[in-house]
Amino acid sequence: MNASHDGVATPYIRIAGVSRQYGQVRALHDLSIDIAKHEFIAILGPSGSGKSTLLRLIAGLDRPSTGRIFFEGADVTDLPPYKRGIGMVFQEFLLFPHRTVRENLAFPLRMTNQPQQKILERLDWAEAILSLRGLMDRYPNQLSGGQQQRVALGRGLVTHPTLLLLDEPLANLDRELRNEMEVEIRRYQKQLGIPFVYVTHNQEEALSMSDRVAVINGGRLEALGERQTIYDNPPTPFVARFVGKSTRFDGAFNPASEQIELQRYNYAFPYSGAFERKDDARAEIFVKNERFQLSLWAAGATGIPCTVADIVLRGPFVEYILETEAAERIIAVKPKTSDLSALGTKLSLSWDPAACHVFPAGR
Amino acid sequence: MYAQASNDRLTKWLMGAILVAAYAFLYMPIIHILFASMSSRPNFPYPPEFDFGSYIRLYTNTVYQSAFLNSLIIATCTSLLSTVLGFLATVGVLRFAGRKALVYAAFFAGPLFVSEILLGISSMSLYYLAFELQGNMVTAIIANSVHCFSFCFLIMAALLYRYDWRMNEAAVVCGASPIRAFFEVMLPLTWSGILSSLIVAFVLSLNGLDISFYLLGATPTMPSVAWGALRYGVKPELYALSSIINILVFAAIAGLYFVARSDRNQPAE
Amino acid sequence: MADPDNRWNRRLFLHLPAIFLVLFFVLPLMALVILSFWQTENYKIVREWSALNYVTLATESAYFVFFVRSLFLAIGVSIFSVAVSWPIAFFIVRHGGRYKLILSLLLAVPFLSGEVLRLIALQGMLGPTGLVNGVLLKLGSAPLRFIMYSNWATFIALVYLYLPMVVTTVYLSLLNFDFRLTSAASSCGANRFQVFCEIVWPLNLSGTIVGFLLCFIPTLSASLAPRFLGGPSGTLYGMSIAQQFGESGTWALGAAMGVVLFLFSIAVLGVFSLGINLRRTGFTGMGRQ
Repeated sequence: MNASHDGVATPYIRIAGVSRQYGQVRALHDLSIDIAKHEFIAILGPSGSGKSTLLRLIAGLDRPSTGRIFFEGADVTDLPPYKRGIGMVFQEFLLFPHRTVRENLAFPLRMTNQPQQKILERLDWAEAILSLRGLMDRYPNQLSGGQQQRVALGRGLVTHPTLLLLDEPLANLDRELRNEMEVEIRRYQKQLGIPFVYVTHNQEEALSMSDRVAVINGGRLEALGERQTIYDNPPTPFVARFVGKSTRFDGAFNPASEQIELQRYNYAFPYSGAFERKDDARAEIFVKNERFQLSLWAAGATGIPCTVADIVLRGPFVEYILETEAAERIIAVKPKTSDLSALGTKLSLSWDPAACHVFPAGR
Repeated sequence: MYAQASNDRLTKWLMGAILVAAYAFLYMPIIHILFASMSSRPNFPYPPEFDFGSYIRLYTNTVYQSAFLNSLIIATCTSLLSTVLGFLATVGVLRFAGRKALVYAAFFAGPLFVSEILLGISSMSLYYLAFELQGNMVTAIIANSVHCFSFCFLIMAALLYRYDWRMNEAAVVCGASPIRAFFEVMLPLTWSGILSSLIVAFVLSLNGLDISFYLLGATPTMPSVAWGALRYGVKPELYALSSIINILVFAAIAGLYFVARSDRNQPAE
Repeated sequence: MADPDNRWNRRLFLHLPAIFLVLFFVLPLMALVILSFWQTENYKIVREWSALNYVTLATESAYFVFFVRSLFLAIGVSIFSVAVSWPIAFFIVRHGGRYKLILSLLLAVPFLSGEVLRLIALQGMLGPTGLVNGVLLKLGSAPLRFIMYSNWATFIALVYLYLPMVVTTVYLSLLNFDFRLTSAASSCGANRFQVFCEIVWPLNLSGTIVGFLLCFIPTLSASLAPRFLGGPSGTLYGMSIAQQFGESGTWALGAAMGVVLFLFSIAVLGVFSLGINLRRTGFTGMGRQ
């Protein structure tokens, strides 16, 4: 699954059949993505998946081995970065240490030869929208991490570019700041109405900010779709494993009973989907940790028996660390209520058949 | 950056050509002298011969011998003195100077910006005026040390700049006394700087003329003898001496490089 | 660290080398100043205070000529060395890969051979019967006369002596330069020329200036190179100082010349350090404390 077309006449940004090869190593295989004008798209993948490579190709910092890239219908593949009218935010910010905040922000405007009046206007705009009042004449090393981040964002946005590229910009910030900035960045995107292409390995970030998510693995596009769809209906085992926190079980499809039977546990559930392989009925089952159903163990219970080994409080949620008879530890996430099961309680673990993801094994 | 346009490739080849030209410029004279030292026609020793006559004559020449010995003594003492002082200065500036670090660093680098000849004549003036001394080995060593100290300081500062001083604290917390912490933790990580500084100071004072000359007058050092010979017409022994020194310098630096590299290959860091 | 500890540390590590420098660097310079106000007669120093030496320097045009000649030569040599060092250092840093250290060391090592030996080597190459002219003669063409015993020869010799220093300084500066800033600038719309002028050059300016000064100051006072390779009209200032302390025995005058040289060097250093705003060259601190 490598292509996506909106059916719209000319997509705002089109990446067509792009691949990048370094000698023997293929960093990207034949990727095609269309991006709409008001869209926030996250490029999600583990380290080394090629997501940063893809971003650099869009920016023009690198050249694709095959494929073309179009901005608003125009072929920009042969254009250097400074002719593409983009903005970019880097993980390490890369603010110019020898320039003040004001000069950093003014830099792209000067490089594109904007008139002085416009430069002053945009600087005021950036100062207001990014809450940089009082910081404009400081040097980058006199700013906190969060402030540097905002300046980096400002520098990317100050020319009102065709699109903004973000390369894991929140990776160097602490957690609280990250959560705040996630909301802020999304707000800027909505206000400006330009596409944001956001590269990250953090699936929570991707899901919280984006409209669509592109999942990249090993240089290939694993999945591309609305964030809710990617989360609720992962199309491949990799996406099921990578997006959201889930637990994996081995099992097999029993055609006679039309059920998936787990390998390790005496548990089965009905499966209505078509199972392609006729000779190999083995399956992988992924259950999102928050979809587990827990009930007190009683005679005749049909779920997987387990005991509460530990409880971790995470704000409004509780993580139950459950230990099964096969000495496997499974994490079940539940909203925090006033009556939590105590340690050592024996529970029955089950789930709604519609709420899990089943794939043929070895796919 | 973004793409290897033909422009980029041209620039790259141009820079590479300048680099090669620089190497040629710097090394051709040295190699020429090497050939000249082994030839019976020192002025145009091509095709190269391998006649070691001038080396043998060099070996038996007592003037050169005593000069070389003097130079060795000066160089050894200078390198020790300037390395020790340079190390103290480096640690002082990086660790204990606080806000005045830059001031101290500028002061310690000062001798570099004062030409050698000024160092030579000023030291000579001081000793003569204050003590009516003509200068001797000790004063030569001290004056050379002033000059080499700055080099040592810069070399070690450059290598110690990234050192994380919290490692000393970690060692002390683990029970090591400060001296022990230095030997066990700091020294292994910084010995390359110390060794480089020793070698550079040694070689600089071995070969430096201006400073020693003014402070020693009649006492011959290797460079002053060479200079004397140069004034009265070059003899092949001079080429032989020059080549030996060059080869030794080269070998010392190469040795340092290979030892440092094998050290780095170990998974310690 | 407790305060008394720190004070002893400070004494040992900072004050000891500082005292050494004061005793053997600052004091000699002061002695030089004192000497410059005295006289020499018949190879003996006469302790009569007067500014006669300075008057001599100011009035006898020869010394002025030497100084100006040295100045122009020093500026020319330093600018040329910096100009050549930049592409060399840039190439090694950007395209040197694993061989960066070797390549840069190979450029620095010749410096260690010392003035005398290198001048010997250069004379062998450039002399009337040296390599260059030998080759030319064998090829049947006339020898190049201007590369020996002339100001050009001095120029070449001084570049030869100090190029390793300048290259190493610029190399170290570029080595510590974060080249990703060029990607950031490019994404901001700067073309390659603008990236160089706005980002690469300013952030390496302090290194460049240090390299320039490390070449300029010794070259200004060069004595050996002009003596052996310079022509009859090539007397330079440093050479003249050497003569005062050597053949002519007029130490006091030489001391005065030395003081003038020193003051001039300080002035140059002062101009440069005041002219450089450290922040503007990206300097952010002296490492971790």
